[in-house]
Amino acid sequence: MQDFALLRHITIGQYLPGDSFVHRMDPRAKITVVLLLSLALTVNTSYLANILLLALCLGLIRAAGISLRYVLSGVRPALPFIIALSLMQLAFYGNPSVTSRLPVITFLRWGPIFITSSGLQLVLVSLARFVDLMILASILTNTTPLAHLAYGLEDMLKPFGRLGVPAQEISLIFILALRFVPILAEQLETLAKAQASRGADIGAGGRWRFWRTARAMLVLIVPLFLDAFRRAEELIVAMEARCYAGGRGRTRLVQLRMGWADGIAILICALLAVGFIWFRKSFPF
Amino acid sequence: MDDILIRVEDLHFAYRAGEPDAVPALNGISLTIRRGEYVAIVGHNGSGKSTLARHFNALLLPTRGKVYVQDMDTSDPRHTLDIRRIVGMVFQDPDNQIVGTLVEEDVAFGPENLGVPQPALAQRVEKALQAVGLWELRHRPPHLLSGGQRQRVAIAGVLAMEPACLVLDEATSMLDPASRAEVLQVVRRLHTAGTTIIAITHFMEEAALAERIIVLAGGKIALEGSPQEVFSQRERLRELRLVPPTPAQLAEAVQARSGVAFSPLPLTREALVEAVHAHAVPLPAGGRP
Repeated sequence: MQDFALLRHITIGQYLPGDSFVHRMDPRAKITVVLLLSLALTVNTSYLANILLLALCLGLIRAAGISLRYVLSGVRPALPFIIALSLMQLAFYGNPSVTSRLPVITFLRWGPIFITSSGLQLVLVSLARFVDLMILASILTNTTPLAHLAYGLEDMLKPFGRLGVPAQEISLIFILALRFVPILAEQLETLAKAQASRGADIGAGGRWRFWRTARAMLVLIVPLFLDAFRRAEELIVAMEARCYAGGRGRTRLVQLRMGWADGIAILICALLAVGFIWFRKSFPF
Repeated sequence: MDDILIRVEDLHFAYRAGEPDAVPALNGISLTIRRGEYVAIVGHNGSGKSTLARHFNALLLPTRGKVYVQDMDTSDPRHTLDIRRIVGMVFQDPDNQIVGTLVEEDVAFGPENLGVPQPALAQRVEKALQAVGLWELRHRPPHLLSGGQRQRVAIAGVLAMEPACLVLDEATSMLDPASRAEVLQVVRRLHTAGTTIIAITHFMEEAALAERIIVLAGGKIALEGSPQEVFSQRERLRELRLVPPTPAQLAEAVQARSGVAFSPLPLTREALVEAVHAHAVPLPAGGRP
């Protein structure tokens, strides 16, 4: 029956209360830092840069007081896909596609299969990037209540309001989605139990049997969507009854405050990001 | 005349009006709700009670006839927001009306929409949460609360808009008995404090708490009066397929068996206990009869 706890494996997006420096940072500062570091990650393909960035991410995770194990346990459901993708990259991406100062060594060439040291580097760098991004996303969401993240995003998008970006609405949609995650998860569990009690084979597929799992999920997804639509209708009526008339003229209970420590954190990360991007071709290996 | 809060004049309403498959729901309803009143609207499924309730705050607009809230016509879009601020509404399922991810953020949703600035906003939230007795739980996410607590959050969310009237649209029908009692206690306290209450319900025990009951059937007012007047019309109630509250049923059964008449008819547990007590033979000295 443990398979019914479907959201158990998802570690991104679970707020873990704490009192570290990272927890106390302004959500806007955290979003900025994560964006900057993600940018640095995506343009660096050398081994050394990725080792440094991985070390940096591990340092951040320590500073936030989250266990690396917890973050990585979230990868488990995606593991089959990651392995399949890595194997395909290794087998078919032999042509030098990463900028590297290392000589390209061909390991195997047989029909369409073409394995080189450059392909291997692509695979390893991709894996490191994946872990880095997981860590950054986890740091953002595990240390910030998600509603505050939405408010941070709203405040950051507000200057673009004149260009027609509906910051208030985007943030409200995000918050409503969050609000309904536990409700729909509970509904999904109820549905799963109802279908299982009528003989459906839910949770029997196992991690490596995608087709069976997917088919078993179908009998849950369709009623879940119907339920979500019904809830959405009721929610709209309830919001209208509480005078909701779009984002214009709304005020907000939660006000965010940026401190000097937030500024310093942004500055350091901005310098690091610029450095990594500027010198991306200068790393020795 | 200014003590009249809501005035309904010959209200007709049909879903999908004007189309061949129109479904008439209300067929000529006229009523007034006075300021500070506690009115229950009852009727079995499909009688039009929820449809009527949604006309009080302009969620639905009349097909024919008029609804006025403080002399504002609900069909005039310029008044819509004012009317919704004055007439707050609590719905059946607490899950589908709570917007915020934390209790206090949800309660703030209404006044945020009205553009109430800080610090008045925070004060309103505190006052509303105190009124429903949930101030201590303001930092909790709503899904970790009990059904009764969640429905009280929904009530607080409406109170934060400082409405004159609270419409409860079957607000207790999804709750367990303990939670229902909890919510009703809050409602009674609000009424004592001066809020007008309109309770849509199919629990007759709940309707008995009101000062006036309006019974709907087939989209029309079938019966209207104080709980005493309504629940003593046994034949009419049977025609309308409504069952009086349990204490009234017990009293009537005793009446039929023993010939002892209860007047007035006890409608609540307390009233029944008092009425029976008045007829009871005192225990002989020493305890056992």
